[in-house]
Amino acid sequence: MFNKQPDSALNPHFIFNSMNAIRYTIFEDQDKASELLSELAHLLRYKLSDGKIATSVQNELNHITQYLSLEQLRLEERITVKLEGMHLGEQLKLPCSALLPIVEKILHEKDAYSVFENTLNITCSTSDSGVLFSLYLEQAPKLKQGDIDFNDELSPLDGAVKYTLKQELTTNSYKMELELNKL
Amino acid sequence: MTSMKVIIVDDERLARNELKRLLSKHSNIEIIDEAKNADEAAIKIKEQQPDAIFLDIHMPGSTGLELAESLGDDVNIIFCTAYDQFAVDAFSLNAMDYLVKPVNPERLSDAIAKLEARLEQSKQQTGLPDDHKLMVKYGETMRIIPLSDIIRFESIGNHAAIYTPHGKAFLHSSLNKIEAKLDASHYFRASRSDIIRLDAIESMEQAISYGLEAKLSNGQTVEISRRQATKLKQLLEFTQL
Repeated sequence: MFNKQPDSALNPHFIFNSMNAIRYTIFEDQDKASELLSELAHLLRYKLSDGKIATSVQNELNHITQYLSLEQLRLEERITVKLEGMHLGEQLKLPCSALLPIVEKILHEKDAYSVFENTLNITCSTSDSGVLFSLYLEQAPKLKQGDIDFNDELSPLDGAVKYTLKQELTTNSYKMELELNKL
Repeated sequence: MTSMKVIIVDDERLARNELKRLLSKHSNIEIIDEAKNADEAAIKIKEQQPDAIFLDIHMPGSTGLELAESLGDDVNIIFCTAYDQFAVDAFSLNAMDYLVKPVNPERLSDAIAKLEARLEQSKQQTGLPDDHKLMVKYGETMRIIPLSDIIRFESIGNHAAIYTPHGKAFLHSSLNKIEAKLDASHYFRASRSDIIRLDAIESMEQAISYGLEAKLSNGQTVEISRRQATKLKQLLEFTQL
């Protein structure tokens, strides 16, 4: 669902795979399938307002959580997700769907489906003037190397907030830190 | 209706379950195992020699296409994937069919019918006559022998050992391929690792841990799996041992 252009359409692979997984879940657990379908619907609705409406970092984090729960449905034991500091309040406004495409792109570029183990930690913390959003991904047996180009994903933030992005790589891990500050 | 043994290979449990659910509606399909990656699948295919595998493409470790390439034409492959972008590669690897997820039950039925037809055809095309000549290497000596001289084929790694009056020799072929060329009225698949000549069986005994134990005319004893023992009894019209 990450965008090649800021207002491009939704990533069909994510939607398609999620719908397939939900369809399979119907035969195992109808309540869970219903809940996941609602999450997908919320996510789609949110994504459709892409770049048009300002939102809070908190709202972004809620949608990242929904997105990850859909990825967990498919990856099951192959992904462990740990979220910290996901309740930040409403102090900093962002364009709608600004952080979610970054998370999506990381999982896509690091190809979470081609490895046996993914451990994903997302941490958020606040400072006087902003928010530090950091994502740490470990993969086994190895992580696909290379920095990720986030130019398209970050461009909606231009003029809305000040930001700096850092990336670090090791053989098995990738770390991204995005610092967001008020203008 | 031909009974067909299949293995499902997919990294996603939900996708495997969906396919199992769809296949359960086909009484001629027996799902003998499932695997969640290509390496696990390669071992299970070698051990259990299914008639076909339903194979996903995008999996951790080796891809389904890489697995298919390593298997050659030892097993029928029905690719089952979320994307159609691999179809050309898949068919270049001699895929029997290519199903796109979510699998349409009618397309699945077509693939199963195609598989059944192929297995039937391979049975009919087989049946080399007993006097079919084979060139076999015994040590440094090449001999030409009639097929009927072979009383046992035993799977050993990627080869098959054959037992004849001249001794033991090796063929570079899988037991599945050999079985496909043999006349079922003369040769019988005793287990995953053995094919025996029916008229070379001198006696049989009930075995405790498995089906039967057959003593062959060359003095060897060969295990017949429980499942195959039932078939052999029917074939030989045994009522009770």
